[in-house]
Amino acid sequence: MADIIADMYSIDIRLFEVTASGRTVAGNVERYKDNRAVIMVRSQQTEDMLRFVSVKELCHIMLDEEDDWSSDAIATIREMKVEFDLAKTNGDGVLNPSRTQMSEYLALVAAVALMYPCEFHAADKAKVESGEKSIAKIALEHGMPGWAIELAFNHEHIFNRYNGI
Amino acid sequence: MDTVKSAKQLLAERFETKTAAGLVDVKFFLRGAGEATTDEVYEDLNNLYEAFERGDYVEIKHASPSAA
Repeated sequence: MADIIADMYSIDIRLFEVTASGRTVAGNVERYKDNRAVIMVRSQQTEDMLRFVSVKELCHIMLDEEDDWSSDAIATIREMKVEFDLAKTNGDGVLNPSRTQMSEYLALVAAVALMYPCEFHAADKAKVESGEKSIAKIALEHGMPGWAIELAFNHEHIFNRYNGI
Repeated sequence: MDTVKSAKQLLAERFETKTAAGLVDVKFFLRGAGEATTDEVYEDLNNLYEAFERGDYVEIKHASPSAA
């Protein structure tokens, strides 16, 4: 995936696993004006999280437009700390999400869609609801965290828009 | 006078340096940040960067655009 993105977007990408303490940061991606990106993933995470974080950070390189860019880490964190759920159907999501929030949400959705293609969602969800299959088993099949499978199920109105594209 | 810098100050200074070196964008993947304070997030990020600067990392992938 990194090779394809590097080619498509003419960008040099380096991906590192970093051994560092801390529970709140799973990883990050930095983009530089000389067309290079550095991705850091905190190593003390499960294999499925390491994979998911890497894919999600790579998605930022594909999806973020220049208008989304900011090197102000403090402002970015402050915006991310706001509880948000752009896809909530009950009306209590963020009404006017910032570009940072949109960027995070889109990268998350794209990572889920890449690792767990939409055509699996409906059948798997039915099996989970009938007790035939567990979230953990589906997560294992796709090599991704269970919460990301749940995210796919809970936001099916978003993923359904892209099913079959 | 207290000269100990806060995690926020350290992180802000780190990114001022990075911006001067050509950084144009940074994005973070935060987990459980809803329950954490912003200071905890700043500290964890400083820890991540300090570990990287110490060389506590493994390069997993280096992807370069192929020559046209």
